[in-house]
This record gives sequence, structure tokens and C-alpha cells, in this order.
Amino acid sequence: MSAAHVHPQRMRRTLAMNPQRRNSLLLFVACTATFLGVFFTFKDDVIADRDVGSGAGVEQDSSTPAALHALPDTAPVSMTARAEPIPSASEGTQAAEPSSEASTDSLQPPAEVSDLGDADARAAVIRELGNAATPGSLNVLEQTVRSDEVVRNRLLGVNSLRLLAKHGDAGGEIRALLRRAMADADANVATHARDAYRELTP
Amino acid sequence: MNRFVTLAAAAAVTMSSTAMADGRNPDFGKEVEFLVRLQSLPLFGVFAPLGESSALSLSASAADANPAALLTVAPGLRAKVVSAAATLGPNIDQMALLPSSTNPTHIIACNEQGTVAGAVQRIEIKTGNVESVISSGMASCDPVRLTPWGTVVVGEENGTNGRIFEILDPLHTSNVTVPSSGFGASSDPAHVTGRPALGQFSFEGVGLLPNGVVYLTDENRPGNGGIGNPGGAFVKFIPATPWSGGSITKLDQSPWTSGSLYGMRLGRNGGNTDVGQGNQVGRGVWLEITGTAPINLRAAASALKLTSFYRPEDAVVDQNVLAGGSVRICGTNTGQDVPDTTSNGDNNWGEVYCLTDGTVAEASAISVTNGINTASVPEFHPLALGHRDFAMPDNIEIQPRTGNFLINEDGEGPIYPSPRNNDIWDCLDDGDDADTLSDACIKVMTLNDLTAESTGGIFDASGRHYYVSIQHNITGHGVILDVTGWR
Repeated sequence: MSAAHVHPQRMRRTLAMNPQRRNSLLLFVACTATFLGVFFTFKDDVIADRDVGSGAGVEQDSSTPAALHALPDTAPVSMTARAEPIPSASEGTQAAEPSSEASTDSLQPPAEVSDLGDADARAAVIRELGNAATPGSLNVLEQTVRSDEVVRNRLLGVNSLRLLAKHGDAGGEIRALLRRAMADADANVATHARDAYRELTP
Repeated sequence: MNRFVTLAAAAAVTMSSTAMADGRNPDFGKEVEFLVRLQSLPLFGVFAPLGESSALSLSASAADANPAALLTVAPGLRAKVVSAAATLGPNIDQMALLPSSTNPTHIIACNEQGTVAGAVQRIEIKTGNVESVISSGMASCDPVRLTPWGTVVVGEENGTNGRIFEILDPLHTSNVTVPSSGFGASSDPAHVTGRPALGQFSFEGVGLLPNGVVYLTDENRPGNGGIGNPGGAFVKFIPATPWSGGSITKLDQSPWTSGSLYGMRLGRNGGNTDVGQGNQVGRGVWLEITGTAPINLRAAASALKLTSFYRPEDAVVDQNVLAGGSVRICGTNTGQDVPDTTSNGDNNWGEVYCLTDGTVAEASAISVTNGINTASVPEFHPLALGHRDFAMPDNIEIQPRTGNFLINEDGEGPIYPSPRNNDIWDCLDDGDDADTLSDACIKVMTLNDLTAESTGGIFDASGRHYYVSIQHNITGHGVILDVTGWR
């Protein structure tokens, strides 16, 4: 019960009671009010925390760019079709493996490389393709942004396309792929593609 | 009077319980989480923990425009950029502060890439300028520590080809190349040399005591090379001449030039024979590892049936316990967190553990009987167990001043069907309660880059500056942030 609901006669009796009991009762009311204050203060923080990208309640040098929260309406891209399989790490560039030149039979790759699951193996290849401007790499990246079911990998695919384009995109193929990726069902992928396209189209 | 205070407390708890029963926190565990949240300021030094992990992923241009936005921090904290230089290695992992953690001017960091990339870099904290210390030859540089004798040691996470190198005068040594394998001379042997006495495996956790005794962990997963093969083991190196103080002027004065190695095997029952699968907790023994340096530590671990763990990662010495003259090393075993919607998902979310080894004197002594160094008794217990929201713990740091544990999550959240970013967690130490587990953990930071992980988090001596790397982030270059605002 809050103090606002205390009957006036009861309030007068409270004030008239002996000082020790009165102080104790007032202490109780103060404790309860403090608790409620703290509770509702942090209750707001819970809500703020859920919007982690907005910077609400977060002291940083600067907040996340507002543009990331204003995504264009996009048509979802089918993520089920896959025209050709994306090569596994062993089929792709060797740069994904530790590039030790040791020739010992007992040489073992780092656990976090040899332990890669399918999605992480593809990610390692996709990362490296941004540095290898070949027709083959473009095909793999196209399949990645069109159909890799892992959002993280499509993000990497868009970024590798962006890096490839910095070496040249005279025919406009990369920009066409980025335009397509701007319609990705995932907002992050779409934003990446849009930002990359803007970079490449002054 | 006491009656009314009790009544007030009871009313507060009742009201909080009522709020919890309001559909938000329906059980006692939730109630505990709620109370932790209310006390996050005195317990963790932040106004409130973060809730859900970020699902945001900044584009490269957005991250380049504001690298600090790669990390969302708990209310009260602030993140600013130490360096986001184009020359900063993209895979910056563990870091050390130079010339000391008290008044650091530089960070020296491992860049976990292949032999062609700059493996060890020096970053000026004030300007963010990057210089190369070891420019090539190392593969997957991961751990780095400042030694009590003034050098820096770095290690390779590279299977049985992994090596430890020691760097003299790390503030002024630059552009050194080392052989891509073996322990041949570097291009500057007066300032950089390999340390074969410490053996070879995938170096990751390094718990270094002031006298040069060091605990090392092997980042290896079970089943590597064949079904049933052990995961990563723990070994201890005891220098032939323990360090007694001061600095060295030549690398051959280092206590790591020679010494002996011991492997940890848990299980003392039945004359130290109740060992192997099923015994991974509690007390054990240190088994002598013999051979000619450099010893293949994985082969030794297999032969000696050392206790193994799922990808041991970083480890840190508890300085508070050390100040009392005893040894406590805390670290992480990563586990495997690939989504259970896939065929290879394990839901093994890893753990944080602490290992005690008696007093410093006991831990540094050698008394071998029947192949067992009986001078000290290792004892291993979990401190915090992973869960779906706190998965695959990697780097670990103990905050000076509070004794809390900061843990960099390296889970597979980014590839979950509803992707989420990796986070940084803050855990209390175990208190005076009956168990040996952390009393509470909260989320204090979350990434805004689904392609990245946070690594190498390290505090300065004040416990008010937390330096952390945003590894393999979307920009393609390294980013190191300084997180302040800890109350």
C-alpha cells in the first residue's frame, strides 16, 4: 500500500504514536519507496537494453549510425536454391589454413581451424575470396550472397564482393550482385550491400 | 525497531517476488538474476547489465566511420578507440601492456595469422600508431605475456609446431623475422629467440608466476587426429634457475633457457590410477615429462594419459591469491557450440575453471618419485559453466580492484538461425558459500559485428581501463578499444 492511500485518520494516529514506532514506520515507507524507485529505474533499462544498436542508455563516443535502423523495404530473396555447392575449406584457397611451412609429419593445424564446422569452413573461404579477383571467386561469392543459409556468411560474401570491386568492376557484375543483395531478407545483409554499393557508385 | 526493519525487507522481497510473478520472472533462478541485476553497480561497477545480445552487424563503411560502435557497452561504461589503423593486424588476439600495467604507454599484441603476416605488433596507446615487432615467420601467434624479468614472451597456436619466443627490449625491437619452423636463429638473435625448453603444442593459456614457473595449456579438441584422441592438456614448466628479481640484459639470462616439464593428470585414488575418461575434476598429480628439447607435448600427453579438456584457451594468474603466497590459475575450456539445428551441434558451451597448486614454493619445487613430482598437488574445479547465452568462453582477465572475471565469448551465435553477436561477460569470483562456483555473471558488452569476436581483453593495474580487440571484424583491419567507466 502506498502512502497516498493511507486514510487521513490513520495518518494522524501514525503521527501521534510514540516517536520510535513512528520513525520505524516512516523508515518502512522510505525503504519501500526506494525499492520501487530502483525497480522502475532499472525496468526502463531492460527495455533500453533490448535496442542495443540505438545506444540508448549507453555511453559511447558516438552511437550507431541512424541509417542502420532505417532500412528500405526489400523483397526477400530465396535462400533455398543453390545452383552449385560452395567449396569446402579444403577445396578453396589454402590461405584459410595455417600457412606454416613446416614439413614435419606431426604438424597439426590449430584446433580452431581444424575444428571448423561447415558454416565456419565456408566463412574462412569467403573471407579469403575478397583478395582473389578471379572469375571463379566471383561465382562462389554470387552463390554465397544468393543462397548461403547463414546470415554471417552472406555478410562476409557482400564484404568480399566489396573488396573485389576495389580492384575493378568495369563490367558492373559486382555492383549488380550487390544490388541483388540489397533485397536480402536479412536487414544487416541488405544494409551491408547498400553501403558497399554506395561506396562503389560515387 | 528490528521488527520493522525485517518487515521492510520482507515487504521489499515480497514486492519484488510479486513483480517477478507478473509473468516476467516466474521462478527462483529468475529471482536471483533479478537481484543480481539490482546489485550490478556494487558488484560489477556498471549501472545495469545488458539484456539480449546485439543482432546488429555494422557494414564496413559504418564500422570504419566509427570503430567504437563495433561494441555496445553496459550503462555507465564507455568505449573509445585506441587504434583502428589500417596496418593493425586484423586478427589481434592476446595483448600485454608495456612497460607495465601501472603506467602503460604501449600494447604489444599477437596477430593470429599465417607466417606471412605481422605476428607481433606494438601499438602506442596515445596515438594508435602501429609498429612491427616480429614481422614474419610465426604462425597463429596467440598468447603474449610481459615477464617479471622485463621481456615479452609470445606463443604460436600451431599444433605440435607451436613455439614460444622471447623478446628482449620489446619497446625498441622491431621488424624481426623468425624461421617458419624449428628453433633456428632469428634475424635479430640478440633480441628474439625461441624457447625449446618449453616444448611444443598449440600454446594458448599462459599462467606465469614471478619466479618464471609457468602453466601452459594446449588448445586442442578431443578427437583431433582420430576418434578418442584426447583434447588439450595442461603442463607446468619449472625453470632450472627460478627468477629471483630484477631485469635481464641478455636473452641467455632468462629463466626459460632450461628447466623441466610436468603434465597434469587428475585422479589420485587407487595409487593415482583412477584416471582417464570420467575423471576431469578434483585433485591430481604432476607427471614428469622427459625427453630432449623441444619435446612434443601432445605426444607426451597421450603417453602419460594426461587429463584433457575441450580446447583449453586463455588462462590468468589470480594476483590476489598470489599475494597471499599461493597459486591459483583460472582459464577457459571452449567446448563446441555449433547450432543444434545442424547435425554436428554439440551444445557443449564450455566452462571457466580454476586450478590451484598449493603455495608458490610448493608449486615451484621438484621432488620426483616414480615419475611424479610430489612437491605440489594440482586441484581443478569449474568456476562457471557455459550456457546458450554464454558460450565458448575464450579470453579471460581478472579485474584488479574487484577480482571479477571478464570473459570474451567466442560462440557460434552469429551462425544461429536467428543470429546474435558474441558478448563479454563479467563474473564474480566464488564467495564464502558452500560451492566452488562463481556467484553470478552478467553481460557487460556485446559486439555489433556478426563477423567478429572480441579477444585479448586486459585491464591496466587500476582496473579502470579494459583494452579489448575486435578480432577479424568487418573492416579488414584490427580495432582495439579502451573501455572505461568502471565504478
